[in-house]
This record gives sequence, C-alpha cells and structure tokens, in this order.
Amino acid sequence: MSDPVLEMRDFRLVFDTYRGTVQALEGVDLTIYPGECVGIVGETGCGKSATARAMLGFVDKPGRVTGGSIKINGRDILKLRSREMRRLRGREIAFIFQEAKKALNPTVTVGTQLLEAVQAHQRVPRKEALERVHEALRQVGLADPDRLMDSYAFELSGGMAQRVMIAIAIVGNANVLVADEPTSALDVSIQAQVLAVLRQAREVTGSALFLITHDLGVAAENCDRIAVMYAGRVVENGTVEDVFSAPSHPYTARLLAALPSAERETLEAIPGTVPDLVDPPPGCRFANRCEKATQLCVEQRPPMSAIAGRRQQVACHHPLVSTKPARQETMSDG
Amino acid sequence: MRLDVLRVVAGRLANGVLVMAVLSVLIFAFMRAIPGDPVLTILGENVTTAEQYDALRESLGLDDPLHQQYFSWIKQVRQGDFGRSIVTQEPVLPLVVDKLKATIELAFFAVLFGTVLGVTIGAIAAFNRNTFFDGLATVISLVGVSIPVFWLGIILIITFSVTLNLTPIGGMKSFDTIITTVTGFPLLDAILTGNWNAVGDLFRHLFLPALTLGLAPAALIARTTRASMIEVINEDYVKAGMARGLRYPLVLRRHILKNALIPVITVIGLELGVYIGGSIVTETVFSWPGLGRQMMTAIYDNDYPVVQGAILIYAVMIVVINMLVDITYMLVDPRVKL
Amino acid sequence: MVNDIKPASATPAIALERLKVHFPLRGSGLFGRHRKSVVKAVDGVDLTVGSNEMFGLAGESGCGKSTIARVLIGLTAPSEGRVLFQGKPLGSIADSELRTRIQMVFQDPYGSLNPRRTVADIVSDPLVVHTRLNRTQRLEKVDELLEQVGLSAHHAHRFPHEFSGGQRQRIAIARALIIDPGFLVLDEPTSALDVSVQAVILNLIRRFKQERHLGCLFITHDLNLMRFMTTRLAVMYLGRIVETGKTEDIFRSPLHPYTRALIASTPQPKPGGRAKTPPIQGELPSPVNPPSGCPFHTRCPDKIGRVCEIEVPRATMVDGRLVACHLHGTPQSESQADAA
Repeated sequence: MSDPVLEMRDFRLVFDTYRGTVQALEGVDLTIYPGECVGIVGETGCGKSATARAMLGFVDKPGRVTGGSIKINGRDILKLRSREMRRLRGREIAFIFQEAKKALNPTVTVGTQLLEAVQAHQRVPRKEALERVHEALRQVGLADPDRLMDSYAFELSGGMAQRVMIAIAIVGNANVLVADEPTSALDVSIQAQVLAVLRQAREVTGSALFLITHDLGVAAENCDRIAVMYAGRVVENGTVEDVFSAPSHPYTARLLAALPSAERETLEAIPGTVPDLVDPPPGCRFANRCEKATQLCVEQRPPMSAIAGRRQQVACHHPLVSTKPARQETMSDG
Repeated sequence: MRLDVLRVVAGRLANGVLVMAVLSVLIFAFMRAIPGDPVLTILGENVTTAEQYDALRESLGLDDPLHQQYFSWIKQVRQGDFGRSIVTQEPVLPLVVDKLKATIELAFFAVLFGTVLGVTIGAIAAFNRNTFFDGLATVISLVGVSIPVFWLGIILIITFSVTLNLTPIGGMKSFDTIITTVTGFPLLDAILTGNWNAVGDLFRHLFLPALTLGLAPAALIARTTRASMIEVINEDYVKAGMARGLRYPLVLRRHILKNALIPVITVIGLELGVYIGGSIVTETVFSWPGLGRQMMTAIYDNDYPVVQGAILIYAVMIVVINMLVDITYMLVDPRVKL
Repeated sequence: MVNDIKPASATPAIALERLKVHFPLRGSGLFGRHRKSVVKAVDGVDLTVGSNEMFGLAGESGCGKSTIARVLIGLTAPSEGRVLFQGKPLGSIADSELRTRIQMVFQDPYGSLNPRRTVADIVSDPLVVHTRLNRTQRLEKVDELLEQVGLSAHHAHRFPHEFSGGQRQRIAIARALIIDPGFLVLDEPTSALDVSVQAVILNLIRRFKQERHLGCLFITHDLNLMRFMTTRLAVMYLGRIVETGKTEDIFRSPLHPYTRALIASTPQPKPGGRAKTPPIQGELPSPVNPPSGCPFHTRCPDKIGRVCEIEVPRATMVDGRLVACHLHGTPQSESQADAA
C-alpha cells in the first residue's frame, strides 16, 4: 500500500481554562491513504472537531498542542513555520465547514472567494484561474457559473453554498480534504445530493477525505473506514463493514444499540456521563459507563491493538468477542 | 449609478423635505417663544420714543400676525432668500454658508482624527484581547466618552497653548495670515494657492479644536471597532480564508476589516450628528469662526433670521449625511436593501 | 374532498380539516407599495390523531410541520379550515383550558427553559396557572414528576444551566406532563441531542405515552426516528400532505415519489449500505411562489406529464392509505376513498 497522505500520531491537545487544563485530545492516532474516505464519528465533545481543525494547523487559544505529530505527505505540520503551513493549506489539505453559508464572506462575491483559492499559491493569469474555477463548479454540479460567481452567500441555498465550498476545496487540488459535519445543517434530500457531489468530485481529483460526522448512517454509507472517538481518544477503528457488523469496543456497540430502527423494540441508552476531562481517570475513559469494566480498566489506559484477521483495531482491555468468524484475507494497516 | 441607490436618494430627499417643514415651524415658534426683543437689541440704549420703537418694529415686519410672519419667511426661503440679519443687515444665506465652510473644515478633520484613532485603537485592542493594552484602551474610551467637550477644550488649551505654548489659544488663523479665497474653505484655498505658510498656520489653529471635537467619537468608534472586530475574527469565513491558504494581509483586509467596519460606518454616521452639535460648543471655546459660534451670537442677539437660517442649514446637513451613510452602507454590504 | 383514514378510537383527539395557515409578507419598497406576497406555510391539510396514538409528521424544513404544531397549541391562528380537539372546534375552547389539555415539548432544550428560574418554578408553572394547589402540594407534584422523568427531587432547586441538554429535555417533559394533558405535541424533541441521550428521551416519551394513554403528534425530519416511534404518519411537502398511512406500510412500500425519495435519502447505519445516486435533484421551491399543480412536480422523478403541472392531485385511498399523486389518482380508488 502506498504511503499515507495524512498520519496523526499520539496527538495531544489541551485547553487551558479557569477550571484547569482540559485534556481534550489524548494520544489520537489516525491514518488516511490516498483516495480513501475515513469517517471520524462520536458524540458532542468527543474531540472530533478539534482533531479536524488541528489537521490544518488550526489550534486557537486557549488550545495548546502538547505532543504528537501530524504528517501531511510526509511532513510534520506541527514543526512548520506559519508561512510554510499557509502554503500547505488549500494546496495539500483543504477544509469543508459545517455551515457553508457562514464559511463564505457575506460581503464578497462567491467568485472572488473561488478565485482566491486558485491564486493563493501561484500566479495564474486571470483567464486560466477563471477556467479552473469554472471546471471546479462544473464538477460540483453548479450550472450557470458566471451568474453564480457574481452572487453573494446570502443569495445561495444551504445546498448550493456547500457545493461552492466543495468547489473551493477541490480547486487547489489538495490530496486530503477534511469535512467537518458537511451536511448536518442540510435537509436529507439535499444532504444526499451534497454527499454525492463530494463523492463524484473525489473520483475526479482522487483526494482522500476525512468525514467528521455524528451521523452513523452518513458514515456507513460514505466511508471506507471509520474511527470512533470517545472523550478525546480513538477507541476503535476499522472498515465500515467490520465496525458496523461486529463492533469490538463496548462504546461502539452501545452507540449502535442506541440508534432507533424498525427492528428494535426499545432503545438501549448508555448510562452515566463522560468523565470530566480536567481530571480524567488514568485508565479507559469509558470505564465508568461500561458494564464490562474491571479494575484494570480503571487503572490502565488500554493500548490500541489489532484484531486478528481483520483490518480493525480497538483500544479496550475486554474487546467484545466478534460473533462473526474472522475473514481470511489479512490487511496490513498501521 | 445603481437604480437602488437612486431610489434611496429620492426617498431620503423626500423624507428630508418633510423633516425641514416640521423643523421650520418648530424653529419659528421657539425663536418667538424665548425671551428678548430684537428691536430693543438693535436700538440698545438709544430708545427715545415709542414712535421710534414702533417704526423699527414695523419695518422688520414684526408687528404682523405670527402665522403671516411664518408664511412670508417660508415664501422667501423657498426662493433662496433667508432674509437679512436684524443686527448687521447682512444677507443671511451667504453669511451662513460662509461660516458653514469653516465648520465643515473643522468637522472633516475631527471625523478624520476620530475615525483613524478610533479604528486603530479598536483594532489593536481586538487583536490583543484581554491584555494590558486592551484594558487601557477600554478605560481610555470610557473616559473619552464621559468627558464634556467644553471641559476637555479648556484643559487642552491650558496644557498645549498656555503651559506648553505649542498652539494658538483660539481662532482659525493668525491675524497676519492672508488667504486668497477660491472655494471659501480656508485650508483648501491655501493649498490650492500654494500658500504653505498659511497651511501651516491653519493646521496649528485647527489641531486643538479638531482633537477636542474628535476625541469623544474616537472613543465610541474604538469600542465599536473592538467589539465588531472580535466578532468577525471568530467567524468561519475568516478561518475559511486561511484554510484556502490566503496570505494574512489579504485575510485581514478583505475578510476581517471589510466586515468589521460595517457597524463602524453606522457609528460614524451617528457621530456626524454629534460632531455638528459638538461643534457649537467647540467653536465657542476655541473662537472658531464657524456656524456654531455664529448661531450662538445670533441667539444672544435675538437675531431671528440668522438663527432660523443656521438651524435650517444644520438640518439639511444632517439629512444629507444620513443619506450618504445609507448609500455607503448599501455599497459596502450587499445584504442591505433599503 | 380530502379524507383521512380514521384512527381506531371513535372521537379523534385532534382533527384538522382543510387547515390553511398563510403568513403575509411585509410589502417591500419605501411605503410598502409593492404587492404583498403570502407564504403558504400550511395549505389545506386534513389529518386526525387518535387519543392514544403516536402520530408522526415528517418532512423537510419549510414543509409546514412546525406551523401545525404551533396551531395546535394556540400560538398561531389558522387562516382557514378547522381544528377540532376531541370533537370541539379549537376556537370554542378557552385558551387556559386548551393549555391543560395540550402541551408541547420544543426542539431546543437550551432556549425553551427560562434561565433565571429554578426547575421547581419552571415545572410547577402550569399548576400555578391552571390548578388551585398550594405551594407544598405543587412541590410534591414537581418532585413526583422529576422522579418519573429520571431526575430526583434535589434537582428541583437548581437552574437550567446546571443541566445537560438531555436533562433539560427531561425537565421540559416534566413541565409538559405535570397537569396531565391528554395530548402532547413533540416538535423535534431530540434533534439537538446526541444519540445516546436521544435514546433515553425516546424511551421516556414512549413510556409516558403508554402509561398515560397520551395522544402524541411527533414531529421530526429523521425518518429512522419516525419509523421507530410512530404507528401512523403523514409526510408533508410545501404545506401539503402527500401521503398518510400506517408507518409500517409507508416504509415497506412508499407510494408517493417524495416519500420514496425521502426514505431512500435517509442514511442507514448498517454495514454494506453504500450510498447511491441521490434520489431527487433540485431544491425546495419557495413557499411564497409554490409550483402550480402538484407542489412536487418540479423535482419529481416519476412525473407523468402536463397534468402534474396543472392539476393539484387529490388525496386518494390506495392500499389502505392516502396518497396525493397523479400516479395513484384513478377515479376508481377515489370512490373507494369517498366510501371509506
């Protein structure tokens, strides 16, 4: 397999607050290979958004990186100077925001913002820049590019604005896209359209995509692999098939069991709450809500370990026994 | 010219006419209601007989019924004739327009000063939020808003003119500075005629009154700039601009400043009205030969035509300024539909 | 013209008859001289909800589902049509009485509770207005309700900001239930919540519905949720109901192209469910200037022709449910509907 486009290793991020230091991300490992779509799922406050932003070098006060590395195409961005980081943004990694209409400047035309993305990194004659923008707009299915470029964000629908954001993201030919809840603000029919556009655009550009979402359905239908986050850690990752058919971390299993579906009589809620990350427990962060937890779980942080025969890893002392027989083919990962 | 801009101009002008009509009645009524008698003012100590008094009163048209006086005044105003000063017999319109030019010059520099100072302090405070500078700026702004203009003017005169002897105490120019009139705006004329000595002299005279007049608005502009800047810095579109890999100066100019300054335009517009009010006090303190000081004198003298003319001109100014602010707003923010 | 399938019980808890809610838009221009336009938020809706039924209202933003909720609790007046509550027209019921019979749980658990008042005050409010209980009795009742929603009595003297989103929604449910209403309107009660918390709230709602024989109007855009929670449902599009029937039937074989598209668009959290091409193209037309004929014809993949653009499809009984679509509008089935 080729080299990863983005590799996050043991990434640590804290927030300094008046209550103390919040251990927001504690040793996050994520890897994405060219052309792949990796979903990052989890509930509010699990750190998935902070992880996504950190990938672009966006760590705002009171946030502080305390360790680890984020390598994009082999270069650790945490060691880059801000000028070098700027050159990476848009060209090697691009970001798609949750609310596209808020991610477009209200007083500048859409066209200007699209052209900016082309001209941020190279001197391109206006005519060529325009051609590239038109090409990107065609790829996201926006007809009448000339009229669109003269419009402002407030004149666009949510779906159109998100298509524009995708066009901005792909026009710089970045090989990793990071999309933070790109369709959560949209209606389902528009969500389906935007996700399809994102998929088709990537088929052309070949970019990898980190899809951050709280919607497990969106993750299941759009990703190759997913990483489940809980309280600032990745607790499980693996192919969508493996994770959804045989979740190995108790949290993943409980999360799936809490989803309403026709087949279920009652929903299983997860008792308890997420621990206070100002003073997190030394062991597994899910231990206080986990029925399988033992003294070991309370005391020791479970390491990420591979599950035999599957492209799946879990950070749990007592991973759930898979009811499905392990598949034969072995896949090398991380 | 954009059609919507024209529509706003038309609308605001129509409103302006209405405002002027109401205002003219009020001015007229107030001037007659306040104590004092212009006839006595003119005659001063020389009143000898009742006949003399009545004759003057009649020649000024002051013995007509009030409504008749009002309508004949309005009729004249509509023809561009604001009457003559009761005291000096000068025609009111040229007198008022001439003084207005001095006021506009002062107000222009006060606005310039207030805006530059306010926006700069506000922006620096926003980028250094919760630091010592931010706190200092907040305190200074609060003090700036709270200080009365006349007191500030006097303190500045004592400091700069009396103690440090850096600037003249008052007036618009030194006695021996002579300026050839081109437009009637002294500083502009001096520049146009290349009279650099006069320019320097005028600037030295302008400095303190402009500072006095501009400081309170500067404080308010600083606070508005700070608040709106902090809001804009945290907007997604600023982050999105950076995520595209834009150079910071471009992000600052196009994505931060352009949006952050929109509310500031409103404040400047509102403050322009305050400048005009403030100019009356400032001009009096600094003996600035502007419309404000002229009006004060006219009020003391019960010089009805001059006061009425001055207030009407002030009203026209405010209507025009509001219109300009609205138009600026429309041009800067595409979401604004008036 | 448009009928609805009657629920099992004799007198429905709620019946809407040709309900229309039109909002006038302020005219533009300096003196509002331009022609005034109207948003047709609800444009001729018929439906009935049984007194012990969990009835769902599905649809995307702007379809009018929340407006119907507001009409039911008396926050918005209907422009046309009738709203019957247990057979009595809404207008004939005094506001205060209506409040004791219908209560609502809102979407936003952060915005719907007054931050300056304690939980005890918030929850006991309906008792203060509608009963003659004294303070001690009221507090007893509050404690009882808090226990029932899974909080405890010691929470009563805290303020909303001390609670998580899920706990706030429990408080909102306690407030809604404290005067024993017969009917509950739930407008996206869990869309602001995480999955694990949502489960708690949904279980709670189902339990109360069962124990107290509540009639419920459950409004959500999430069809997975809809399928889990409701027994019958109506799908709305641009102020109109396009399909009504048993939840099971509709999910098994949706008849209206819009219903089918909505179901197909809803992502399924299951392995092997790779996304396909989006089932419908285009965007929601403006409710100010809705399309003529069938409101869905501009996006419909199964449009049959001019008739869709000209004629408003009438609700027709097909396979035990009502569909408003020209595909299913044979005169034969129409007479069946009239007979039903």
